[in-house]
Amino acid sequence: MDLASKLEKLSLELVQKQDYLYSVTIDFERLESLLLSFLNEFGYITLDSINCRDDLEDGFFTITYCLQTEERDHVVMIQTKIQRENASLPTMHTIWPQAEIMEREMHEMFGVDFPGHPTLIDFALEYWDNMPPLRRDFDTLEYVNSMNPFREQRNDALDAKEEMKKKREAKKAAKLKAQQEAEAKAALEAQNNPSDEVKNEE
Amino acid sequence: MESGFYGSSLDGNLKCKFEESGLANTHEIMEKAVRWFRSRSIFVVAYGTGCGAIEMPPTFTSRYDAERMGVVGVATPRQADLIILSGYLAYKTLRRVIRTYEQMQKPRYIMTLGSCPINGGMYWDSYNTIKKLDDYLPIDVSVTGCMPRPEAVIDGFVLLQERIRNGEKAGWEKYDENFEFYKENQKRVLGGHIDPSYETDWYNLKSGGKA
Amino acid sequence: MIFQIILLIMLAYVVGFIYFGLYRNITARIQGRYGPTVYQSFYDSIKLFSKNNTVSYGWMFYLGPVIMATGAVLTLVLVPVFSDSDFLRSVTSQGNLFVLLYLMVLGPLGNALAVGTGGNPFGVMGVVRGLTRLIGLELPFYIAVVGLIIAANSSDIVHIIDVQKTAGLNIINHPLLFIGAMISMVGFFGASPFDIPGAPQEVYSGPRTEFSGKFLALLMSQGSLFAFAKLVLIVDLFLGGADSLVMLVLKTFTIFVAIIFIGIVYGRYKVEQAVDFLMKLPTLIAVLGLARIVWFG
Ligand code: SF4
Repeated sequence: MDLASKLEKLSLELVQKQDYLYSVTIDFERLESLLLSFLNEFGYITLDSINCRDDLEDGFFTITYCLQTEERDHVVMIQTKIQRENASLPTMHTIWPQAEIMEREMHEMFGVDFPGHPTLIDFALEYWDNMPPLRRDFDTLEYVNSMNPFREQRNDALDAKEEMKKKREAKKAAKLKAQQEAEAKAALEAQNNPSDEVKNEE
Repeated sequence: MESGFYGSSLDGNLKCKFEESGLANTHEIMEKAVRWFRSRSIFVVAYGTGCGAIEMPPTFTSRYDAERMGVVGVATPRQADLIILSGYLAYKTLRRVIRTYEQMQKPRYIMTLGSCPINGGMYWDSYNTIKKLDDYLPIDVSVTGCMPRPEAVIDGFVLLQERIRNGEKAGWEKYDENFEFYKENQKRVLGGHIDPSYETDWYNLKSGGKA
Repeated sequence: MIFQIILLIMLAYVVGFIYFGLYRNITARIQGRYGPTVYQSFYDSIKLFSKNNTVSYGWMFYLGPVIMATGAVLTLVLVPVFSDSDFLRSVTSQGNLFVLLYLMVLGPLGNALAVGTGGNPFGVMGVVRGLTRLIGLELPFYIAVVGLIIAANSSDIVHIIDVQKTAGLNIINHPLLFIGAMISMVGFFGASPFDIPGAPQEVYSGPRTEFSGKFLALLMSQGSLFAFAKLVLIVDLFLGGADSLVMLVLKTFTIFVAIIFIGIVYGRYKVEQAVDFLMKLPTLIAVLGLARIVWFG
């Protein structure tokens, strides 16, 4: 693939993930110029999505830009890492207009700042004043429990595991009983009309 | 402006008048008749929250045909008697639903579909959906299932009709009685950003503004 | 006479609502469902009358439905219902076709005033669509009416009915006029393809968006009264009137079923398409009918 050779000149490595999926890892400083050269020189005109992954343990966000050419036959992911604290990215909405809404969502969900972005307002949430909800240090369970307590349990609620056990045992016992009964019946019948058996033998 | 031609099921003024003239019986009979007509004609505004909206079209079209029971869809909450909430409610949706509900004219009823409005369903640990809808709005009928089939929805309609016919205490009456309770819960979860109540009488704001 | 008027309104109320029940039922059967009962419209209207009203936009808002109802009742009273009896003859002889044509536009205007006060954008859109459509609807209908007036040499409906007794029914003598008037009648009934003002998928309920409870019930009642009045008008003008209740129901019902079937088969026009169509084909047909009367008698 000639993209690999082109990238090699920039001392970057193209890694094939799947048969249509490639990835390039780059450091944050060169990100913007690389995106621009992807658009202008390599012909990757479509920005599919901008994704963010929270690597809490290592203390950074992994940002992924997915790009496609006009043929739409493969996707190249451009990955970079940024600091978690006071995270900020260059806005791409002037180049790809669809980036505006993607960045808006990322700002809302992860708290990443985009200097120069025109509409960093509410996207899906409304009046959200807590920590951005998709950051992993946001304790969802605690927040949910504080906002929406559980409904009180009904008194007649039973333990499902034990009930199932009881049911299974009862079933087994019934089966066993039926089997025994059938056997007894068969034996009784054999006693009562032995002529049948005789006939069958003949 | 309270203009009641049996406006509520217990219209105080009218009942007093009837009782004064020794016609308490007549009032009862008329009320029964009105309740019967109400049960036979239910206008629905289907608010498609969550997954359940997909069960609405078959319920109302040729296959299951809810219109044969007098249940028919209308376009605006002003004309509707029943609002169907078909699934989980995000905070954002709840805001709109409260507003829609308050735009409806009394008597008004709520029907919910699925387990999400009852206990959160599979979205019980979501940061953005409510768990118990009955804390915020009074529910008349809950149809369970995830998702209930149209047969179950129709069963819910029948149950609602029965309740209206028997004159059981409806959700909107509870809402009026426990208004403070519901508003407090709404404020707690929506952070006070609730749109103005649509029952405000904008022309007489100085004199209380309560329509 | 007051008694007669009340009787007439009650008759029109019952017949109109049963017709609308039938309309819903027949539509349902054609779509392959069971459908509501014939009395469903009664249930709806009684339920709506028993609802609360807490919406208020000032007095003009309340007045709108009342103006519409006034127009409907006046039209109903001025149209001669029975041709040979004295039933309300003293009133009907006062009005003639011109008055009726004016009254038919009163409703939409009252509606426009009320909806404008309500300020709901969908309502305003619906009213604008309705008034635009009216331009197209009135043209063929008025031309047809003018043709009939020339043919009978009078604008008195009673006289037009009398002429038909000797000279034969207008539907046979002037079929072109009948076709033109019928096409615009489909629109006056709000049936497809001319159900533009209240198009549910486009402007929600259109002019009725903001009306609830008793106002909606009043609008529904006046709608059925008005529908009945219009049916009687068509029967008077083209089918020679009716001399008994049975004939009246038979004739109006025939017209009504024809309108239902047209409405079910067709989809909805856009506003400009509808006006375009109405200004071309039905108008042309009506003009041809008029020319035939003027030049060939
Ligand atoms: S109850 Fe089930 S189907 Fe309904 S909204 Fe919840 S998850 Fe979806």
